Amino acid sequence: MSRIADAFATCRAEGRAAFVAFLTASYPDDARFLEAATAVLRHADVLEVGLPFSDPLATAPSSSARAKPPSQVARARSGR
Amino acid sequence: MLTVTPETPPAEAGLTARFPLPDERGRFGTFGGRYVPETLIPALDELQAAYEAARRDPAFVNEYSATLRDYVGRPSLLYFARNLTEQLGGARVYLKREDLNHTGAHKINNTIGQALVARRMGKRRVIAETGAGQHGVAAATAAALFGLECRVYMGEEDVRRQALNVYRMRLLGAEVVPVASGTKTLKDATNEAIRDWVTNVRDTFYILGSVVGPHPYPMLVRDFQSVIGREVAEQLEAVEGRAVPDAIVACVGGGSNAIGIFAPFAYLAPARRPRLIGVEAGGHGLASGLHAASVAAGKIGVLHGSRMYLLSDADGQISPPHSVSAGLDYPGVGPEHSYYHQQGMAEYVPITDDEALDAFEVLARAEGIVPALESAHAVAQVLKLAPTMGREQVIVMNLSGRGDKDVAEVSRLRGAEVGA
Repeated sequence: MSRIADAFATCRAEGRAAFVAFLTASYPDDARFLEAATAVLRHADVLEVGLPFSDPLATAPSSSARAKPPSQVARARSGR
Repeated sequence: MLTVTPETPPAEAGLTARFPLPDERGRFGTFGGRYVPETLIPALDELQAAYEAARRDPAFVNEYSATLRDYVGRPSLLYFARNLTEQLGGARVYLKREDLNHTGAHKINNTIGQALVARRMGKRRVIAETGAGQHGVAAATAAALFGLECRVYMGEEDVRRQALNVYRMRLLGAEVVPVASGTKTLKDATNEAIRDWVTNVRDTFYILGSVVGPHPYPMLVRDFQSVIGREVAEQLEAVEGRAVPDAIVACVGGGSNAIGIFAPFAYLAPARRPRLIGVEAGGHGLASGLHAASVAAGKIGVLHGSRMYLLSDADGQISPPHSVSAGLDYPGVGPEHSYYHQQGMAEYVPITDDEALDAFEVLARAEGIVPALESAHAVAQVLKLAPTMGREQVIVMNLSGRGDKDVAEVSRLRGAEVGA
């Protein structure tokens, strides 16, 4: 938690808003997710990673719509 | 304030009584709780405080009781099903006639209670989720009665299947919003209602329809529905000279009608406690994977803010449930039922679509009563259970709703069969 607090403290000290990016875990697959996360982290202060769930609460419907591809990816990985 | 103990007469375990559970964190053992975004915690705290104050306020309790009496038509009858009893040749079967309530189901007991809490909190707008439309109609009815603005979320698939209830809700002044996400059924409508609540939490009251969701909802709905079990104890005492039957049978989707009739008896000492049998939707059979038997075939997880038994796949995603009855078509069962199951306080058994459809017809012909398809699952279990019991023994079954809404669907299903 302190790394998140530190990130906001740094932004406040620099007198600017924090850039909090969001990516869906393992989307569209593990390798490309890590690639995207690495690229985003060169610019973002904080990266929020969403775990896809069929029935998310209080998040935009897009996180639910996204639940399908990664779960299919997971199935493909586990060979089902 | 009375505390319910293993010795408390069930009739006394009412709105002003305190059940042993949930604990102060909203837990029934390891079930329940509040798995929700931070933004909702203050709203849940506010609701809990308002409800705790309301149920200690005689004016609130009196208005709730008077509305149930004068508007809903309580107490509902406890009817001795003589023909069915003779036909089955075993235990004496009583039907708790929640189908005779205003709007035709037990759902109104809860919506009246929550709408009164909403008014007390100064909230002018209420929202609700609905599957078959029974809770939506009951919520829209309470909103009309108390002059509240009402919006009901309903899955697109259910809007199509239950067009008549959609019209009823609109007639009652409610706005019905079709939900297109996910499986377009009850769980998706619930997601959307929670999303609305997060956004409009300051002026909006969420009237949740079953004993699910984050604390304090499972407790709130249980308390309002427990009027069913309290009346059973009083009525059975009057006709059988005993307040506690040998068995109580009720259908379980989320579980509100079952909790309503179980809870006043569930915390009795094991030697005094009746068999409590919750009937889940077995759909096409558990082996088919097409069912809504969250206890019999599910596992423990978190859905809609609460830890409970639910249907999920290997990735932890919620599996789509199936039941011929839209009211049982929910992929989880409330935390208090989950606790009863884990502690062995109640039993949960599946009944298939076909068994329920047969029971629907059996009750209609034996007693001249058309049950809701949900309640027909409980009837089917009674058909199995009663013959195995003695003639001096007593079963009380919760007839949670009337079947008018299902006649068209059943005639379609049966008609196709006959015509084939």
